[in-house]
Amino acid sequence: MINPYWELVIFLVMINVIFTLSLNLILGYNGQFSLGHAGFLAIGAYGSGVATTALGLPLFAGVLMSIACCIVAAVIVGYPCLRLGGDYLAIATLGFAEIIRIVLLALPEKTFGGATGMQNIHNIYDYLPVPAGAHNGIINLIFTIVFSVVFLALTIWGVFALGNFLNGVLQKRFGGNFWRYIVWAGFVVLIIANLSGTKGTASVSAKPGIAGYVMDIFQFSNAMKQPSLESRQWLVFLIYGLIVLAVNQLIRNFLNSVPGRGVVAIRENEIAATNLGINVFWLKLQNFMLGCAFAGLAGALLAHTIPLIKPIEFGFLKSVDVLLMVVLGGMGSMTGSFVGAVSISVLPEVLRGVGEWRMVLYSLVLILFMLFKPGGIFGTNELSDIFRLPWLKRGRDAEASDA
Amino acid sequence: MTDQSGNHHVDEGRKILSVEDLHVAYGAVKALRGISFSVKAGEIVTLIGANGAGKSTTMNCIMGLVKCQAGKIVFLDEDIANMHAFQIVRKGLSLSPEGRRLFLNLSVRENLEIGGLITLDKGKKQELLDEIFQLFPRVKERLTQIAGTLSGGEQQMVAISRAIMQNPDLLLLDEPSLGLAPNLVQEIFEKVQILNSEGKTILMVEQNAFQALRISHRAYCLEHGELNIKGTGAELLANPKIKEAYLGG
Ligand SMILES: Nc1ncnc2c1ncn2[C@@H]1O[C@H](COP(=O)(O)OP(=O)(O)OP(=O)(O)O)[C@@H](O)[C@H]1O
Ligand SMILES: [Mg+2]
Repeated sequence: MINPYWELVIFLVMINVIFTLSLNLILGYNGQFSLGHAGFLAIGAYGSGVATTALGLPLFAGVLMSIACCIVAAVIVGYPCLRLGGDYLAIATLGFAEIIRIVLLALPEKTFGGATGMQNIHNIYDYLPVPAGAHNGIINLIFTIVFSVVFLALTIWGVFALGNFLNGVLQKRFGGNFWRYIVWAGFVVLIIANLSGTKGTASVSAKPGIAGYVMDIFQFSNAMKQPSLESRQWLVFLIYGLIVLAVNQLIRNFLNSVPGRGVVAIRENEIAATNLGINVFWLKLQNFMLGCAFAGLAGALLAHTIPLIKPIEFGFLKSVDVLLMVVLGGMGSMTGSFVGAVSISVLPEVLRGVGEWRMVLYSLVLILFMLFKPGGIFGTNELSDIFRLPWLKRGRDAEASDA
Repeated sequence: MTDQSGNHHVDEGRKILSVEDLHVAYGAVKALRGISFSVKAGEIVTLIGANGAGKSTTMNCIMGLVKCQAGKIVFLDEDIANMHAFQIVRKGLSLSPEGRRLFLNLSVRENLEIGGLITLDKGKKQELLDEIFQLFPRVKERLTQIAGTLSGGEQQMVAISRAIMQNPDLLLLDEPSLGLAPNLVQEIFEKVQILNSEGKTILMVEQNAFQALRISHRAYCLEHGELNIKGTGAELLANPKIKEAYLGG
């Protein structure tokens, strides 16, 4: 059983991934600056929150309501601004998010909670049936095994991929093969990471190294002890994971469709896109609506995940946060959104040890990125562009060879 | 001249585009002051003129990228003046614009695909691609290259190919030879002629008046937003005024 703290972190990471993907669709793939994306997250959160509590609707209706509200809001903001073009959308969304925040503060406290926030929203766990005890052992075990295997596979693949990437970069720069050194460097990093933990004393609690964190997350030793809670937790992970995958797949399909290609063409050169017969304004609006709809979904999930939603959490900082996730990962890269969202959501947790300095580190990392890799970690590349694995051969030019 | 006119398959002589008394102004600047001309099926028609005469304005206005204040643009019996570009493309016009306007960060293949995005279904796409590869073997070679890294001439070929990918009834070319070396200019005009002999109707704007006029069936000379001289390509080549102003005496 993953402890509640890390459980929440993982949920938030998954929600942030959806949120980041939604902004990436607008900013990365269409080139439209939305500086107030948190406003749509707020609409999503409060939409589903109010729908399920005050109106007493079921969960799916609440989520649909969030999405619908966000689409309507997107039309209201997008219709005039996208028509004008230029930076109007950035300014308007910035203002819009503030308006939403202030309106939420002013709305009746009984339903919307005012400044202290909405507390009585049903948690996602409230919607799950309590599983019968006898059943739990097996399901629990299966989930644990599947999750561990997937996690392990992803880790190994990720490490291999990172090494491959590094090797490629070094090869381009200096020539020759660097795998050997990368492996050694990896070992050194791992050892240091593990030694970095400290033992606890009576007054100071222990600070585990990386391995400690991993153990802390999964607590395999306890895996079989709390069957009922355990399998429910895995179930929620599974549901959220599936939603993330579904959003990912939907956006991918959209980008590969005719309008999706048009969206990218608009980013690349608006006049040329017009010239080629793309209805630029309408397509930008459609894309903005789609992006905001996914932001609404993220908001709805958020409302049913954290115990309390407050207007102040949907302020400018939240918008900047998600902007950073998109920019850091790479504007116009799905993989980048995943990496950006995960790293920026987890970074503060991992850096908790360095206290206030973490904001400095945070900024430093970003400045370094702006200087040396302004396109973000992935640029506009996907994993499949970087690693030519046979079953992933869907890179942008994969078809070209058989033309 | 018209030595290749025997090759035309389209019902020749039918006017597919006729521009009537077109006025365009950018604020106080009057770019076009009532020009009229027409293009018949199977022709190459060329507009020549000095810098700032209003040639690109004419092309952009036909494509719906620039609004006109008065006049008619009749394409296949329908007035398309001041329609949106996305509507006009669907009616069967496409423009290879001045300065190419490629998607510089995308590959050549992606550029071509976006060209055919709106107007083509899948089978037709491959057919047109094959046609393009035959016309410009260089484009096929460079299919996976990022368009921004192509040489100027290659970019021009891609721009024309991208316009062809829309499978237009009337192809507009705005300065196809812009910035090309003399031998490439020659080559581009040859390609234009081949395209035409395969049945494409072409309206072209050119600075290289001599070569453009040689392959044009008819031509117009635009001066300060007015069409003053018109005739067949050969007539304009022989016109003393044109000779002096555009052909270097
Ligand atoms: N967007 C614009 N705003 C204001 N004036 C413009 C605009 N576009 C063109 N003009 C003016 O309209 C006139 C015609 O321009 P146009 O681009 O049509 O010329 P052109 O014949 O294509 O010239 P060139 O041979 O140099 O390409 C010029 O005087 C130009 O300055
Ligand atoms: Mg011009």
